[in-house]
Amino acid sequence: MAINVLIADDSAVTRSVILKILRLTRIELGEVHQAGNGRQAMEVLAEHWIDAVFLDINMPVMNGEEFMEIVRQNPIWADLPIVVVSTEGSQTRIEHLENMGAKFIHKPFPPEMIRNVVLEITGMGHELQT
Amino acid sequence: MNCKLEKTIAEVAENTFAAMAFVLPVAEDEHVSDSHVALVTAVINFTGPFNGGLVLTVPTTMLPVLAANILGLTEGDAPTPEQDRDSLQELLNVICGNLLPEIASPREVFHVNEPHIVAAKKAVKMFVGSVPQAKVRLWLDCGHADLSLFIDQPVGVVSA
Repeated sequence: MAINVLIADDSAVTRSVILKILRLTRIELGEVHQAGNGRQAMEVLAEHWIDAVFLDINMPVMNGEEFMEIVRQNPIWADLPIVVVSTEGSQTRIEHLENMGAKFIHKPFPPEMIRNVVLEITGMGHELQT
Repeated sequence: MNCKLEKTIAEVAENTFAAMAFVLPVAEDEHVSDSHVALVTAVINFTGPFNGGLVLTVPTTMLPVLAANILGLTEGDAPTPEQDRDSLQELLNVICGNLLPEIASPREVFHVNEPHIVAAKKAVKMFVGSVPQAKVRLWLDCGHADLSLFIDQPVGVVSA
């Protein structure tokens, strides 16, 4: 089953890299949406069904942490899989994000890290191995 | 200048160039001279327990190499000028993000602003005193990279 993905990062290059890695996995991608900041990401979420979000933290207008706090307040998105992909190095902030249910990938990341977390959050890992 | 700080900056930056752009350090005498090429400068600033910024300058000839490597472009697919600039900015973003926990406590929270390409003279004037806390030159296999760290108060380096 295809998954719809939202990639939110103010760097178009990073969005391209994440998308390229996702396409190289054997997971079927449905709609792929991109956002350059948290507010754009909220707009996408309000208009489209999203199965997983890849989220940067340091973004203009609305950062990733603010985005997550708003998203988690809405029961519709309480369990939305969110993968934070960030340079964030503060243990305080990382723990706060993980307590809101995010997976965390630190930049720079090897491609297999994106692949592995997608397989984990979609539960498709064992299916692709058989 | 603070030698420990410069060593930390160099290590973080080299690891980032290698991991993101597959660009590796070389010995200075192995470096092909690029002293007469045009340069491009990116700056990023941060606030938190201390405020400051990081400035990265590279030869313009490096930009397409960095962008192509980061994006995984095949031969014949040249990156656009926008991708060139974005790649440099993102490299600086990642260097800064990885550097701050090394020079501050891992539990401190910084707010890192978005990086920008600026004129070199303007980059230096953006910081109070205009004197960097540390300056580093990296010799890389596709060019050199200069990094300057500006902070608003002297800090020591947290030892590993």
